[in-house]
Amino acid sequence: MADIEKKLSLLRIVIATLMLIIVASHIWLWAWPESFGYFSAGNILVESRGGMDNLETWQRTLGFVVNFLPKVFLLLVLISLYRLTRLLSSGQWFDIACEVLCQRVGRFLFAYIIANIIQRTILVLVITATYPKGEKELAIEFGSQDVAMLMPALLSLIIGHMIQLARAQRDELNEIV
Amino acid sequence: MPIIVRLDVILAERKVKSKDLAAHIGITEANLSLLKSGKVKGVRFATLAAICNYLDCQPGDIIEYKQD
Repeated sequence: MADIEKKLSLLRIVIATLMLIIVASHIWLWAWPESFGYFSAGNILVESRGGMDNLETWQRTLGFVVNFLPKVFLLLVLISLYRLTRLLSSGQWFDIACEVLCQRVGRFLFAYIIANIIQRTILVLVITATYPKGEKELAIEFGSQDVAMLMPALLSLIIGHMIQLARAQRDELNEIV
Repeated sequence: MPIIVRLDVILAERKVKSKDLAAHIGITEANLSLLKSGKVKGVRFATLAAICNYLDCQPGDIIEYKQD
């Protein structure tokens, strides 16, 4: 039991670290793109359209906000997972709250996929807003990365449903003497 | 429910207290009370066997099927 608690504590630290990385990397990418470039290719959408240096302040601010939208859902997924580990620590594996959190993770992941698609479209519009007439762009992308994200979303919903069935079975067994 | 639990009748006939039966079969008095009133979804074979053993009766003496 102490071993499980230790693992769950470690998981909580990993989740909190991931949340920090998501927020910090986003701020770093948009505030200091030059230094961020040493570690990563940066935002491909922006880099393929002239890079951050060519963006005006309002474009950069709006880009920062728009680009952060899907990450909000990712943060909500991580918050749900964090709360889930807390429930598991108290032994509430088949609790209704556990089921709700699993389904919430699935729904937030779906929202993340949709927000990501919308974000890319808006970001391209923002980046190309200052382009001359005829050169502005409207892009709608749906890639293999989005399809891959469908799997954990579906899995979370399935796990939530399994917990619901397990709880129903446990309740039924509790009525057998 | 067409299944009727006649445990209270058998207990009265045998002059056995619910408390003693519950202690013998290893279930709580609350659960035995639920069983007597037929408010349970099922009875484990082990529980049924322990009741029959203590009351010296057959499962048919405790539960009865009555068509609606």
